[in-house]
This record gives sequence, structure tokens and C-alpha cells, in this order.
Amino acid sequence: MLRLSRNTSRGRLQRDAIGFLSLACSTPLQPGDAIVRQLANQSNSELKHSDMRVAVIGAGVSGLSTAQSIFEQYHSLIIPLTIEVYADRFTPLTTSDGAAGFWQPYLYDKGNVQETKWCKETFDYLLSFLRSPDSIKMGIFLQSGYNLCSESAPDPSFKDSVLGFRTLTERELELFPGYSYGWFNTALMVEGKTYLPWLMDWLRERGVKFYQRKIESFKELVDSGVDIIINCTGVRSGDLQFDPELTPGRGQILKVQAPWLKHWIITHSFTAGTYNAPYIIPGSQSVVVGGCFQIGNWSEQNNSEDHQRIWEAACKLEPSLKHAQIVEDWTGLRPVRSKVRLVRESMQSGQSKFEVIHNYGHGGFGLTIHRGCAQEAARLFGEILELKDWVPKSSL
Amino acid sequence: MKRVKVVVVGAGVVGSSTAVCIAETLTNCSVTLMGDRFTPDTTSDIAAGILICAPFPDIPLERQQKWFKDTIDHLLTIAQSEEASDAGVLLSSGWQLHKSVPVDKKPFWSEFVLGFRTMTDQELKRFPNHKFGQAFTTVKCECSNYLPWLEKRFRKAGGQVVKQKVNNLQELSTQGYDVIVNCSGLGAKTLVEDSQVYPVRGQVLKVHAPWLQHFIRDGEGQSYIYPGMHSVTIGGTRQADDWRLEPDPGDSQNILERCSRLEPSLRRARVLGVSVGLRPSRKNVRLERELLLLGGRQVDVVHNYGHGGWGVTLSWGTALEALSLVRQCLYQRPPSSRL
Repeated sequence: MLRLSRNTSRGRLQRDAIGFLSLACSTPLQPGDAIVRQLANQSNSELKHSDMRVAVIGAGVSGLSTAQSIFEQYHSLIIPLTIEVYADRFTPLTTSDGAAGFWQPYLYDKGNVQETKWCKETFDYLLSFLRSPDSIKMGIFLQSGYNLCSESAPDPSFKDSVLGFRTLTERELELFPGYSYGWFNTALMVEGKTYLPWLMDWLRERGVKFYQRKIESFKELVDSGVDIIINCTGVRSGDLQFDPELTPGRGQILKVQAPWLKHWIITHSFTAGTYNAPYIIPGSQSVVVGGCFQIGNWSEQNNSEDHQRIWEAACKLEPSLKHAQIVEDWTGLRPVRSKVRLVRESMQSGQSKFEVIHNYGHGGFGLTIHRGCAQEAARLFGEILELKDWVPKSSL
Repeated sequence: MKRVKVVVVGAGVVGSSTAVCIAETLTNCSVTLMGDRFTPDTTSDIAAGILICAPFPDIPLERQQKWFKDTIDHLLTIAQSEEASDAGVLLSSGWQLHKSVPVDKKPFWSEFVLGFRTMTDQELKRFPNHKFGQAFTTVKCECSNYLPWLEKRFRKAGGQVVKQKVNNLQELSTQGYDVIVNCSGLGAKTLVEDSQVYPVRGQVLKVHAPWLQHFIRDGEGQSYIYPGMHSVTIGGTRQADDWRLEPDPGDSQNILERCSRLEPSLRRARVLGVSVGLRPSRKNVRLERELLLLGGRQVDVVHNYGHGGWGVTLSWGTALEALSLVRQCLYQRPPSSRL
């Protein structure tokens, strides 16, 4: 295996590289091969690192899935690769845990085609697990339902990602007085309270370590020897680095027992705005009832007026809810941003240079987009490795 | 004028529905619902209650379509009301799968369910053993809730409920009933000596799999998965002339195996229980009038039995038609016999 060591002699690097690349190639390499000459040349530059330490800040779905993607793609290329996850909140207390876990992007991506692509990638990825025995342990299952509008509207961005997408028939619309247009499709559920523990188990089994503490600054981690930081701090990213585009989108939901409901129902009001109109999302254990999206509201407390408003609107939409037992309310702050911040940034702290990959600002579609973003973050990770000559370009 | 005494024999879904229709509409009649078994001990209680149907060979399709449409419209109204959970009625979407493309791609009821369409290739990928499929939204009507809910409605309309085994129609004439509505299901075999009636044994398992939100049905109805309010019903068997009411462990094993192939996550599902029901089958449903001389009295009989595995599916529609037949009986009675 290729080991990057401070005192490696040229000759030893050659031998190591040949060994590694021989493993990777089907025919054994010879000292005269071009790739070996390239590696030998590279050994002349300063190889800075023995261990590579990667710190992920944030243990919501973005942090955990990014750790997963990085491990998947680089654990055999960088030995040893140490991945650590730092967070003050872990499942079941993250924003991802409280969310209903329903895969659906906002109706329109406003030109953010990259985000639509990442959402579709996530859907396809989750769908591939459905016939596997792991699907239940991951909290993944299919559910169909209704997107309702009060007037006709263009087809949503996700129409080609989901299964069986179609417009609603007249008879179906009769079920929902007050709505005159909409769509039916089959989508996926990925329940945070199950998915996050599954991700943590997956990571733990592969040697990823978890630390419960609030990271106050990037410097803190760099000083302790971290090479690359993955910033998945969601709505509180501003604590680490001021971001004027990041703002909370407060959501309050009611968890109710209504096991007769087998479809999600999402209503859309183009005046009130996304998720400010009632929605009902059955899960595997309870039904999430919502319809609240308050920009700029940092309160994580449940509000009784919001509760009333949400409940009344939902009962109007689905009269059978009148007999549902309300279990509890929950409030979460969606990490809202004009678009997802998924970029790498070279930073400096004193004399230390370090790399940060930002992956936050997923608004109300974190679970929906997580895998696509995690894979992109891993790709950015690879860019860093290439740029820093930490891994030969040819082996990526 | 003495009130006309109507008795509905059989308190399964067909009898209960018919009794409600009559009691709520013919307010000049006194209506009694009579049976030896009531919920939760009827055949209807075992049924998953999904509205899906196969056609009877000799009944005009239009008539069967009306039965289906009347039932699903009635249940859809309940599903969208506050009563839905009390009545055990819910919307259910899912897929009907076929191993080869069927000759008739659209069943006779396709326009009465919601959003009926052919499955896309992408949807079929999940079912590698099947080449064709239909997706739609129908209704699930759980009789363990629905029958008590119907009974409440029946009593509210002035109906009387009597637990009594009826051995022959003579007995009922002796008790003074003017109109007998025979909804005795499998019991009609002996009650009215109908040799065409025979049981088709169905075994089902109830499993705990709350992540399943869609029904999946193998084209011929051999294997099916029907998620309900509190459990998922999986099945089944179709054993003609098999009167065994005890569960067969071999059948259970077989059902689990077949259904797990359709839906692999079922292998992780805990089995909650197993039940057996005998579908009251007949080549065609018998829904017709008969005027009988019983114990010296002219008694109108309206038969409404032989629904096989489609009792819930056709319950309200056949009840409405039975009601119209009872109405006809009343109009055609000479005034003197009403005294």
C-alpha cells in the first residue's frame, strides 16, 4: 500500500508505489513504467502528512452522510484515514431527527439544477436499498401521496425523479375541496430517527469516532492537528463563520396517532410560501402534521398559536384527523439559504493552512438531498487531495 | 296499518349493509337483523376488506359495475369524513402485478377506483418476476370496525338486533315476518338448500410491518399484501370445498414465502396472528326476489348471498339493489296482507 511518510526515500516510495498500483492494476508494474517515474518525481516534493485527520462538524444527516461518502471513497487510498465527527447534538436530537423524513424537494428549483440533480441522486440511492434486508434498519420505505394546489401550476422539478408521477384526476380532487389541481406520485420516506442511528453504526463499525462537544472555531480543530474540516453545522453555521445568506426557517409539527392514513398530503400556497400551508405525512410510527415556515425565527420552543393554526388547517384538509390522538409537538429550525453552500475553502489560522469543505444550508430538503451533496463533498475532498499532492492524481 | 316486519338474516357485511339501507330508507317497516354470529366472529371480520373484484360470469357487467361503484362511492365519502377511523375505512394505493400481459388490461371496475393506470417500467423494476402491472387507489374497509359502526347506524334508524340461529325460513314466517332478506352467505347452502353455494377457504396472516403503505396483489389474487390500520394482512389461499376453519401451518409458511418474494422487507415482519375464513362462493351472486308460501303465509324473500371473496367490495351496491327489491315487494303486496 502507498504510505506517505515524512522520511521516505525515493527508492522506498517507488517500491511502495509499485506495490500499491500493482494491487490496483491487473498487470504488475515494472520500474520503467511511466506512472512509477511520475511517482518517483513526486516523492521529491515535501510530503507533509503521516496520518490524515478529517473532522466533520455536525452529526445531522449531512455530517454523517458526508463522513460516509468520504470513507467509502478514500479509506483504501489514504492509510490511515482518521475521521472524527464532532457535534453538540446527536440523534435523536438533531434537526434531521425531527423532520418527517419525506423525500421531496421544493416544487421548483429556480434554476438550481445542480440541487435537483443531487436530490435525484439521493432518491435513486435510497431506492436501490428497497429490496435489501437493510431497508427497514435504514428507515427507508415507499409512500405515495398528493401534492395539492389551489390553481394549475407547472410540473415540479422532481417529476422525473419520483415513481409514477401524474396529474390528479377530477375524482381525486373531489377528495380535497378547496384544491383544484395537483399531482400524485410515489416517493420515499427516510426517517431520521432510524437513518441516523444506522449511519452512526455504519461509521462506528469502520472506526469513525464521535465526540460530543460544541466546536467553537475551526482553529480549535486545526490546532489539534486536523487536516481537513467538513462543515455540516446546518442552521448554526453562523457560529463558526458569518454567513449573511443563512437564516432559520422555523417549523413546528404535531405528531399524531392516525394509523388509517397511508398517503402524504402536501398543500401548496403560492401566496403563503413553501411549507406554510398544511401538510400531513404519515410515518412508520406516527403521522407528522405541519405547515409552518417562519424565516428568521430562532425559537426552538413550541408555540400554542402555531399549534392551533396548524391543527385547524390540517383537520380541514383531512377531516378524519378529528379523531387522531395528538402525541406531542416539535419545533425545528430549517437551515435556509438561497442555495446550498457546498464548496471548499482554503483557510489560514496563524501559520497553519487548512481546508474546509462547507456542506450546509439545505433548508427543508436536507434528507432529500443528503446523498447527492455528500458525494459532491467527497469529490471536493478528492480535489483537495490532488491539489495538495496527498495522493497521486492518477490513483483518483 | 300494521308495520311491515322485515328480517335480514346474516350479520356479516352484506347483511349489515342491507339492514342499514332498509332501516334508513323504509321507515314504515320494522327491521330486525338476525344472525347466529356477529362481529368479530363473522367471515367478514377475517377479510382484509380491499375493494377489488373479479367479475361473475353470467351477470351483466353493467349491473356489477353499479354494485362496485355504489360501494366505493359510499366508502369514499366515509373515508373523507370524520367517521373514517371509527368506521375503519381508509384509502389504499398500490399495485396489481401480472406475470404476463393480461388480455384484458383494464378490469371492469377500473374507472371507479382512483387514478387507475398501467405501471411504468421504473415501477416494475421492483418486481423482477412480473411483466405488467396496474397502479391505482382504492378503499380498504376493515369490518372489525365497520360492522360495529353499521350496527350503530342500524340501531339509530330504529333497527332491532337479535342473536338467533335460523334453521329454515318457515321459522321466520311463524315469527310473523313479512319479508325475509336472506344474507346468510355460506349458510344459504342449508338455509335455502342452495347446492351451488360452496366455501373457498382463505387463510391470512396479520403481521407487524408499519413501514408498508401500499397494497401489492399478484394478478390472480393468490398472493396479496394489504396494509391496514393496525397490522398488515398477507395471504392467501383459495381452496374450494375446503371447510377447515383451523389454520394450516403449511399454508402459513407458503403465504410468508410468496409474499416475501413480492416484498422482501416482510421477512423482518413479526407475525401477529393467523385466521381462516370461508368465502361464501357461488358461480354468480344470487340477488333476486322470490315469493314463498311458508306455513300458510305468503312471504317475500329477497336473496342477497354468494358474494365469494367480494363481499366487502360489493356490500353497499348489492344492499341498495336488495333494498329496491324489498321496495318492490312492498308495493306489490295486496293491502289486505299487510294487516
